[in-house]
Amino acid sequence: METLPSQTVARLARTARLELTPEELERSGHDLQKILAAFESLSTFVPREGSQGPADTVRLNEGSEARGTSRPDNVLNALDKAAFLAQAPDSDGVYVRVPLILGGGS
Amino acid sequence: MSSPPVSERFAPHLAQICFHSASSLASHFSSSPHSMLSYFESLMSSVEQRNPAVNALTSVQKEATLERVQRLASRGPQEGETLFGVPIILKENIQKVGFPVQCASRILEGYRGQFDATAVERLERAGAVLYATANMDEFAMGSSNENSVHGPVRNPYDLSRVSGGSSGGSAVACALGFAPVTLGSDTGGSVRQPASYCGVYGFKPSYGRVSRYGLVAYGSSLDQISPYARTAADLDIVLQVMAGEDPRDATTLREPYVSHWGRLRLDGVRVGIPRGLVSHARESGKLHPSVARALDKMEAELRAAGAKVIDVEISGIDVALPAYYLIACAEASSNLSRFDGIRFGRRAHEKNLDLAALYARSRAEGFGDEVKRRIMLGTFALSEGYAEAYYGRAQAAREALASGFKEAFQTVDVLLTPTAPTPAFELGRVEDDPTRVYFNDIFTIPANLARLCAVSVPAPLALTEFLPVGLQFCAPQGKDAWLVDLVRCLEEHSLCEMRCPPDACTVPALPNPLSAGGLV
Repeated sequence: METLPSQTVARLARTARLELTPEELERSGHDLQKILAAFESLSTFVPREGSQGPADTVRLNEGSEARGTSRPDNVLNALDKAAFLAQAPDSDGVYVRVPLILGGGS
Repeated sequence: MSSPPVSERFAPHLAQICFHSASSLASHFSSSPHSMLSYFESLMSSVEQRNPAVNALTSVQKEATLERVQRLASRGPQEGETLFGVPIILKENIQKVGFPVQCASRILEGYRGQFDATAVERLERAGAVLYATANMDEFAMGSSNENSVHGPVRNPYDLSRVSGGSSGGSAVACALGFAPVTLGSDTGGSVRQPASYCGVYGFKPSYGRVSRYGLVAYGSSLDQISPYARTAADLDIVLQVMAGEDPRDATTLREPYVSHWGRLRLDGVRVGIPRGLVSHARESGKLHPSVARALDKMEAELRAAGAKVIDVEISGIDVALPAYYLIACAEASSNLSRFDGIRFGRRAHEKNLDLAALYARSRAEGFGDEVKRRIMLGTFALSEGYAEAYYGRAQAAREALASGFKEAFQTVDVLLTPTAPTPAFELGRVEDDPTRVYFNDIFTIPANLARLCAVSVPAPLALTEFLPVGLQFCAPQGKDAWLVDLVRCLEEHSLCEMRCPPDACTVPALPNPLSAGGLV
C-alpha cells in the first residue's frame, strides 16, 4: 500500500482519543506501515463464491447453538451507586465531576 | 480417575510442590473441612515467598480468603459443591468484588471489582476459594507477559525466559502449584501459548461456552475465559461448573456442557494435521527443532495407538493472522474507548483541559505502547476510506476460514498442530518489527476466529530437552467435553507429560498437610 500520510496518522490518533507526541506519531506511522505491509496477503484475498462479505458476519452464528439475542427487558446487572462513585476519579458524592462541556471544547 | 504420567526425573520434585488436583482437594476438604484453614494459611504464606522470583501474582487476598475459608469450614460442604475448598487464581481482567481488576494497566491503577463475573459466581457457588489475582499483558494484548505495569512474568523452568502471554501469570501459578486451577482469557492464544511455555494444560472453550460477563473485553467476538489445570479431570470439573447459558451474555451457547468422561477411545479417532501450515513454518525456519520433534513423535504415537492421522488443508488459513489482528484490534479500539478517565480509572491531573483533550491525555498517560499500537491499528481498520479494504476483507477472510474448518471437520474429528512455533524465548528480546512477535500466534489464532475449542497439552520430551513444548488439539465449536475426554485418552496413553519446574527456581518446599492421607 502507499505510505500512510502523517496527517492520516494524526487524524487516527485524534479519532482514537490518544494524545501522541510528534515522535510517537512518527513511530506509530512506521509501525502501522510495517504491520499493514505484513498484512498485504489480505489485499489479494478473494472471498469464496457465495460469500457475501462483512454483512455476512452475522451468518457465523447460524448453525451454532447460540442463544437468541433477545431477553425480557429487565435490569440484570445494577451496580450499587455508592460503590460506583467511590472509584470515580472525581465525584461530589452524587455525580461524577467532569470538565465544563457547554460553551467550549471540540 | 486418570492422572497424567510424571516422568521419573521429575518425580522427586513433586514432593516439593503442592501438586494437589482440584478433585483430590475437593474430596479431602469435603470430608475434613477443618483442615482447610491451616492449608490455606500455609499455601498463601508459601506463595508469597515464592512469587517474587516469577512475579506471577499481582495480589493475594489473605483476609477475604481466610474469612471465606472459615465460613466454608464451619458449615461444611453442600450439595453440588464439586469444588469445595479448591483454591483458584484469577487473571486480573476478570471482575470479582473487592479484587484488583487492573488489567496490568496504569489506566486502571487501584481499580477494584464492583461486581462478580458469571464465571466467578459459578465457581464460588461450587465452593471454590478464589484467593489471588494473576499478572498479565496489559488488556490481554501480548504474547510474552512483558507488557505489564507490574513487570514481566518469568518462566519457572528458566527465569531468564518469558512465561508467554497474555495470561502468563495464571500459567506460571498453575505450573508452580499455587493453585490446581487458574483462570486466564484467550483471544488469540493467550492461554494456550503460555500453557505450552510452562508445561500445563491450557483449554480455550468454544466461543460462547463460558459467559464473558465480567471479563474485561479485548476482542468481543474472540474472547473466552479459559482454565489452566494439571489434570484432564480438573478441566472437566471446572468447565462443568463455569460453562452454560447466561442471560447477561447473549453469545453464550444454548446447549450445556455435558461431560463426555470415559467414553472416548483413541482407536479410530481421526486426527488432521494442517500440513501446509506446519510445513511452511518448518521450511521457513520458524519451527524450533524441539517443537518439530514433539509433533512428529505425537503423530507416530497416535498412529501406534490406533488413531488415523490425515493431512488436511484448511482453506483461508494463510490469511488468518492478518484477519485476526485487524478484527481483534478493531474490536479493541471500540472496547477500550470506555477507558477515558471519567467514570473510573486514572484521570490526567491537568486542570485546564477540555473534555476531548482530557480523554486524550488520560489515555496517553494510562495506556502502554502495545495497547496504543493496537488501538491505532483498530481505528485505522475501521476508518473511512480503509474500512472496506481492511476490516471488510478481514471479516470475509474470517468467514472463509470458518467454512474451511467446517469442511475439514467432515473428514477428521480433531486437528493437531504445535501450540507455538518455539519454546519460551528470552526476556527482553527486542523486536523492531512488531509483526515478528505476532507470528508467535500463528497456530492458535485460527481457533479463536472460527470459534473452535482448543487445548494445549505438554508434550513428552527427550531427557536432553528442558523447556516445555505444547501441542494443540482443536475440535469443532461445541465439542468441548469430547476434547477434554481426548486429553484423558492422551494421559492414559502417556502421550502428554506433566512436569514440575526444577529446583533451579529455588522455591521453598510447600508443607503437605495431606501427605498423611496419601494424597499427592
